[in-house]
Amino acid sequence: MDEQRKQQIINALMGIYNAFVPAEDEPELSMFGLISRYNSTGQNVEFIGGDWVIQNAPEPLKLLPI
Amino acid sequence: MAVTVGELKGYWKKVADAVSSNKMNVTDTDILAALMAIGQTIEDVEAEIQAIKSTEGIKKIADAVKVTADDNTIAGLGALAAAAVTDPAASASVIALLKGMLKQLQGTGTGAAPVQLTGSKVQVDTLLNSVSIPAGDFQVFNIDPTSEDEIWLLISIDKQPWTLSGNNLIYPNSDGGQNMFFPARAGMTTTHNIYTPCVTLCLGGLNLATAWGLTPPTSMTEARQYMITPYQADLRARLVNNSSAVATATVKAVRVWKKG
Repeated sequence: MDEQRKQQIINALMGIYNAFVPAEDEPELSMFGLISRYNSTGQNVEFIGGDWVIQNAPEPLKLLPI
Repeated sequence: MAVTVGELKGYWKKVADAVSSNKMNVTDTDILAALMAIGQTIEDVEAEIQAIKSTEGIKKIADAVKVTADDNTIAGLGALAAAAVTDPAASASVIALLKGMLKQLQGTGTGAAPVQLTGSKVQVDTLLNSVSIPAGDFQVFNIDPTSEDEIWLLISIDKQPWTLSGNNLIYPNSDGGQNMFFPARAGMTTTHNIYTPCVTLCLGGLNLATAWGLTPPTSMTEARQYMITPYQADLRARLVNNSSAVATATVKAVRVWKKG
């Protein structure tokens, strides 16, 4: 994965993070919630998961509860 | 009447001034010599007092003084090399008793060790961290058992249907079926987020199915009776995404040790 694609994924994940609205059954965004929403966009052609976020993404993404 | 060195020096200066101005005519050489000697003595005394007040002087005194006690208080502390005494009723030195206490805490004293861990222990590990499983695909993961009495799996997955199966004790590389867990999680049509996972108990390496000549358990009590623990070291599981979309899945293991 080149740097440009990596940054593209991080931007998409940050967009999900910023758009998150807490709900009763999901009081805070978790790593699971982040990846689930990213998968729903159909953009996850590399099938990245939580470990990729921890290794490649900046805070606050990599610090989301697992 | 108490006189300070400074005052004494002042008096002496008046006498010296009176002699030098001929107000007091001292012609006797012995008296004059005595007066000079008194003046020098005053100077010497002042110098000695200054030396005592200085750090060097006080340190010299401190170095020269040794504290002793005429009762047994200090002697009762004991020597640094005193042997440990673990009997609280013994008449031993303080150092010996402190060493005895350390020896007892380290479990090398007498009688039963004073501290014993009891009760259960629980540990939670993440086995799969929000992995993306393509449609119709699966993810294999190691459960990595050690000496647990029980291992519970907590499964979060956002697509359905899905199935959980294990690897059996006899053929570790083959799919061991879904009845290695209770409740079995086959063809599940529910989804579970991270806050409401689907829970199941690992039963060990036997697939409790009719195909294996066994009647699958119908209750947790029956399931526990079938459990084979300690679990086999290479215990693995397989999470299958039977849906037509990419699934997100997290699996955690709750490891339980019932005895310390």
